[in-house]
Amino acid sequence: MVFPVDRPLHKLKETHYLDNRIFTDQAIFEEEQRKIFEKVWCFVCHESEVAEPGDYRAVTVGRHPLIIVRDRTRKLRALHNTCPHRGQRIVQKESGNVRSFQCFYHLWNFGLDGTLRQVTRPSGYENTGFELKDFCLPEVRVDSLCGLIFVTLDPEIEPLADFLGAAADHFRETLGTEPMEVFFFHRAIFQTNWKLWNDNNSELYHEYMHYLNRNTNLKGDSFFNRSWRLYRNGHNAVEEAEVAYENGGLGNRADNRLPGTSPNGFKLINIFPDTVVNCRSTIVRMDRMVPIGPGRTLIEWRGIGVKGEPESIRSMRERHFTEIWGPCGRNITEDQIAVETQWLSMSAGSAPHTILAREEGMKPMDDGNLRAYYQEWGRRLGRKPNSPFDRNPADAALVERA
Amino acid sequence: MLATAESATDANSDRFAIEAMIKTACWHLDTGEFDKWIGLFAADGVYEIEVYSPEIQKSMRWQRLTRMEMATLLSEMPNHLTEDARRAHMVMTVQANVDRDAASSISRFVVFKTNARGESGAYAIGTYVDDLVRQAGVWLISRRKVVLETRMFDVFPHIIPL
Repeated sequence: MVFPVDRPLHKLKETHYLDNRIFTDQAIFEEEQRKIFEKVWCFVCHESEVAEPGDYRAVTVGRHPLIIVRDRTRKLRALHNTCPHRGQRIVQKESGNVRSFQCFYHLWNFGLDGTLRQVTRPSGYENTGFELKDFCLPEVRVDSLCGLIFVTLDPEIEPLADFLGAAADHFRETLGTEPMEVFFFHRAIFQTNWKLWNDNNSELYHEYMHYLNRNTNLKGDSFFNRSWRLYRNGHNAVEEAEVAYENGGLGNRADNRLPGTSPNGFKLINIFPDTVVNCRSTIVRMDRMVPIGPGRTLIEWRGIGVKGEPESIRSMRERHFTEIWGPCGRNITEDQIAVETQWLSMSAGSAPHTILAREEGMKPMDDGNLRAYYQEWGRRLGRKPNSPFDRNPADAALVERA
Repeated sequence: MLATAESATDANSDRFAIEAMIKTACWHLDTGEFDKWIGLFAADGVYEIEVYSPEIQKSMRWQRLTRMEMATLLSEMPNHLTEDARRAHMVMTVQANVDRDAASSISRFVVFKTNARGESGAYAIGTYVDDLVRQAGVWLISRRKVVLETRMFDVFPHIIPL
């Protein structure tokens, strides 16, 4: 047998397979940072993480370190976390509460709105043309919806609500009815491409891999009787189904439900390019990613519940989160092994293509949502996901216009 | 005077027994003898993992299991996809306070891991905060709180105790 195997991919539609170099190529990775992560609204954190004036969170969007801060007037702001003087990170800690930001290197002091208020030994700048107003921390657009804070590095992009469109309707009632808060946070660096983690979150065909899901998700009556919904900008969502948690020894999840959920309910909303809202009846899990390299991805997980709820209910939500998705839960490690071995094969060239050919009328195990996701990816990069290096100017223009 | 010396000897003997039991628990985890590990817990014993998140400035429980839940979960192990790796615990008990048939102890631990390719490295660092009870002359764990310092794992612990 000749290797790599020359499979008759021409028998498949162009949209039904991927060239796996989109997961391993350094140039494509760099292009993704510029053409995707710097051009969309990216989820960064929840409003509960910056609840009070002076509260901040250090985050990274694409390659850019940012500070999300609530200023004295309670307005949310997003500032570049880089000193305009010599480039140090202004904020070193992940979170905190401050009256102002001070660079540790030469003690330049910035207001919560990013204005440079004071420099050390200002006399040294007299008659040099240096003015405080020219060296603030650049501000980027920030907005929130249902408590979810998004930022964008693109000043021209449409408003957040328009970018999310009707996809947000799938989580609006659950996250936007009562005050919510993040009570669980963990993260890890996986040795895989960021899109492979997104695929893992977005596709339901791999439910068969998980021992737990074979006994719970796939045993629910409604699992196969729901459909993917596709939205503009590459977002997609799958309707709610009932999970047979009791089959997996995880009890019944009918009580203390979050707004807009059914007993033992499960729905999934994928926000292009990297955010997943996994709404269960008693808990919301949110994933976001920070791509570090083609084969290296920082993943953050958040567990979200109702703010100020009794400890007994909070413990229940914590348990519901951790027993499946926590670092010591049943499923995440299995997913990790899947996406890391997948990337190893791809980077070695032994897995040249990914097949996304399942058609089940957009039912849960249809690959249609992934196909739509990669069409959006291709549109933004001006590359075909199945032949990313075979473009000519005419093709690129067509893809761009699409 | 004699009574004091005997008490001291008893206390040392208890501390020695507790340290030995904690080391044995680590050995059972390293060798995958989970039944024996669970056997070191009292019938109402609890195992939990606590981690502080500087990101949200909250302590979190990554896991909380009763002895029965531990047994059920670990019996499912063969059905799960897990990392093919061996672990080695190094443990040092730094404090053991005995009060008749109850005790508490604090032990620092490091777990090293060797993966299927033979690469070894430090995997997890933390502290066992144990409450212990003596039953039928044997020290058992009534509550083990694993306070983890490691938060970023190369591969998550999955359901395997630390």
